Amino acid sequence: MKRKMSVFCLVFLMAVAIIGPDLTWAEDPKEIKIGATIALSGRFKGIVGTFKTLGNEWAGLINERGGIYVKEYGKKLPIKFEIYDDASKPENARKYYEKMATDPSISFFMGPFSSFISNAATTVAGKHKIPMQMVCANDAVLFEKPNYWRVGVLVPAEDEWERLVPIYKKKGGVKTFATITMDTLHNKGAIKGFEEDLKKNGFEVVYSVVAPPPTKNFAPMIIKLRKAKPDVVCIEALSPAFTIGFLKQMREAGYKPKEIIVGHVTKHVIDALGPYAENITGLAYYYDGDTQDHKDFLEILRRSGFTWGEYMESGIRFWAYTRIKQAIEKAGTLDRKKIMDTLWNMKTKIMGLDSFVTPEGYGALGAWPCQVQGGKFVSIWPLDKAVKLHNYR
Amino acid sequence: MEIAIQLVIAGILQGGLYALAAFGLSLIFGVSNVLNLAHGEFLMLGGLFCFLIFSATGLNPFLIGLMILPFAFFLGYIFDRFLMRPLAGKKEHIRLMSSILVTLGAALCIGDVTSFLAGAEEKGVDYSMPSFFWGDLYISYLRLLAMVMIAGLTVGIHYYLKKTYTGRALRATTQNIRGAMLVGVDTSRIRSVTFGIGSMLASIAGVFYVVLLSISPDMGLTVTIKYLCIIVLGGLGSLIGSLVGGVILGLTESIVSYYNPHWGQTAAFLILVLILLIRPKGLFGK
Amino acid sequence: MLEINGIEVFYGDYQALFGVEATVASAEIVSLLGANGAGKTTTINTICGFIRPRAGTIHFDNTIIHKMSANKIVEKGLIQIPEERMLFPDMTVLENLQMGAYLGRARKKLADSMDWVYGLFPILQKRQSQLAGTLSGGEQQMVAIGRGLMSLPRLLILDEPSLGLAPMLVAEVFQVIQKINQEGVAILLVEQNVHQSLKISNRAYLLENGSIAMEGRASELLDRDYIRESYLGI
Ligand SMILES: Nc1ncnc2c1ncn2[C@@H]1O[C@H](COP(=O)(O)OP(=O)(O)OP(=O)(O)O)[C@@H](O)[C@H]1O
Ligand SMILES: [Mg+2]
Repeated sequence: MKRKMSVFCLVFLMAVAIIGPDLTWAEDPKEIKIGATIALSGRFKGIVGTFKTLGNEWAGLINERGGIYVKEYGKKLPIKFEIYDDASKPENARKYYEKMATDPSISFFMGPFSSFISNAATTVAGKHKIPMQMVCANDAVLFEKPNYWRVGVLVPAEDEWERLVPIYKKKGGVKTFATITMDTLHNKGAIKGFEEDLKKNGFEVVYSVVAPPPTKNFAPMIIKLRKAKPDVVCIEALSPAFTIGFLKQMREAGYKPKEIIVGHVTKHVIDALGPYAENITGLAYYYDGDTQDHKDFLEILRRSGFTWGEYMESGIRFWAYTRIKQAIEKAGTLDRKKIMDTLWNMKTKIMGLDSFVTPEGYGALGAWPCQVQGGKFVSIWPLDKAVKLHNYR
Repeated sequence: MEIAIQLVIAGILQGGLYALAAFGLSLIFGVSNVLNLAHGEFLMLGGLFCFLIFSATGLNPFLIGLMILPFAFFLGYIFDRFLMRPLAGKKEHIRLMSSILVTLGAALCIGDVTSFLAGAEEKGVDYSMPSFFWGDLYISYLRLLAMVMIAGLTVGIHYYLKKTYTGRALRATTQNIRGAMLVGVDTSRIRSVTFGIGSMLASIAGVFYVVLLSISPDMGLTVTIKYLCIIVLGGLGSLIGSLVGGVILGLTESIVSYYNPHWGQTAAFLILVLILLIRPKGLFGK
Repeated sequence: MLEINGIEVFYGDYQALFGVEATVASAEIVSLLGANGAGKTTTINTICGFIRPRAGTIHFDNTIIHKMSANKIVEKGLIQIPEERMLFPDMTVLENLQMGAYLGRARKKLADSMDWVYGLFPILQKRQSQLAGTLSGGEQQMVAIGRGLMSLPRLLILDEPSLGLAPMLVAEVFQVIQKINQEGVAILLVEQNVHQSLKISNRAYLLENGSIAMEGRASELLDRDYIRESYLGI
């Protein structure tokens, strides 16, 4: 009798364990949850730490309008972010994405900052078959091995600088370039693409150097730079310390090129250089041209309390949020496989521009030229405007 | 030839900056046998306070650097008083391990708290001076000023250690701690004072860092490791050793980086290994 | 002046002293004798505040000192000249002596004390700019005693001052100790050199395996058979 009882109990427990998760799925979800990690501490905090607020403000804006319409349930569902701090380290990102993968209420992943950490995060997405919209991640390594469960939003790193060359071509006045690159995959990729582009267009690269991230003494490079006498000096470094250190020492050496391009201009770089930052040319994932519908983007920035010029990567976030929203609306369901299919195949417009995914998984968002003018980072695109607004030093 | 001269100048100027903070680390090690892994954090804090005051007032950053000296001293003093002194009575091997753990923990903690309170982003003070040009050669007045200050501090500290009673007590404690106790030196207080002085030197180096380069809350351990190498190279506990060690490191980095920036740091470490193979106690070690 | 009451001292689990009792009165010379490992150095290190007793009390001038830090005890005028000398090897002889007058009371009398020390050890004046680490053993012992005197001791504790010295020098050191005593300084002398110590002492204690085995007037102890057999080899 006793034994029968326990066998019964066991069978019952097993039944609950097997059917249980399906039972919860059968109920309509109350909200759409997006899981992500962001560098809220560690070395990338200064670049992306504020984007937690940005995401929440975006969700707030959409929810004010009722949320995202999901056809399968015939109603709008509110959206919610679940965000963890990866402290700028891949092992933390992996840990938190693994943790979120066990939560069935999370229908989506958004990627972390930088290719290096995204590499860890996409592995988790692929393993558990959870759709991941990546954000700031566009290096070749990420796209070399196939993974169906992640798509990017950015063009390849190699193409990031492509909109700069036409300005110099049309405007004239500079011929020779020098590049100083911090030794990371991303920085090297961006400069490689840029240099090829320059050569194709008849410009000359007279000096090119790759230096390790901790470099503090740039004098040896600057000595060579002064010998090579380029018109344009380009600095591409993910770490602001590298950029600031180099520029301060170039100022000390009294070398005054006609043009300085900095790949990652942030508020902190501008502040640290003061007036010397004036007329430094850079790039942002946004331009304020009138072809675009940027109302929502500017609204969430306003609510978050910063400008796109202070955090030049904020455009990437807005694109990723919007892609997630559109994918759900297009798919009409929260089914993970169907959403992933949609993310791959969807061709839409974001802020009036084309958004799609290449067969490798790259996106379509590139960077637009900007310049520090009056202590602020201002947009100088489209091309005609750029030629007029852009100043040499 | 000009290039060679220019590289040597750059190397010596950079080395002087290394030497300044290494000096403090060496002093602390000499007196209390503690490798203070939080030393880089004191450097970072010096730079941070300079940055904050500069942002608020726009005063000359070096003036600010001098103004915050008493505060830096106080910080070092209480760091020793409350974190290191309780360990002083422990057995030798326990003390060694626990001082490493405590200073490492403090380093991580200071870094995180700073990052939380002041933001993790890179901070730099915008202050520049013209450079001095002589044909193709140039020397930055800023770095020259740094060198003059470093030289001044070296002479000052030398004088302090030789002539004042506290300075002598500090040397006495380094050379024979029990002997110092037997003549009535309060060695615990001397230790705290030494931490204060070390923290002051680190904070001045931090001011140069924030002016010449930039600082961030997570830089501490990286610079501490560099300073550890310098004082090992120069001989643990030797002041002149840390000066020479700093300049050797700066020169090596400068010259090798000219040929290939990637080998600059590696070459510096190779030199360290080489010197330790020839002189296991460092250049000026006893 | 100094009263030691039943101190028990441990190194970890190992007990080195078992209820040691002793006194030194002002202007006295008292010897603390005993074989190697008897606990003599342990006793005086406890007096000087390097080791804390687990039980018992130590009074100096009627104040409790066994809870004070070493430097505070020095301030009271209780000075040890240690067996290992503990000089500052990278300082000159002069600097070592000056360090002896580190505390305020002694600092004011620096010039006088210097004359006193140079009077006792004229050779130190000649060597005053030599680094202490490069001195001979005997010279180092003189610097150690000199440095102790610079602190203006009221009670001077000497731990085996004759150790490793040539017989000529040993005699000189014992003479100096007597001279110091004549200036009014009380002396606690730890020695292996039992015969000579007892000859200059007023009283003496014999330490065996961490406890006092015998005590009395020095002249009396010199005559006891036990001392004569075990320590004087007569
Ligand atoms: N730091 C220590 N740790 C453990 N045991 C110790 C320590 N110092 C001394 N001892 C032990 O305590 C006992 C007494 O030592 P102490 O040095 O007091 O002897 P002593 O009478 O001064 O001898 P000596 O004439 O050789 O100097 C010895 O057995 C010694 O081994
Ligand atoms: Mg002994």
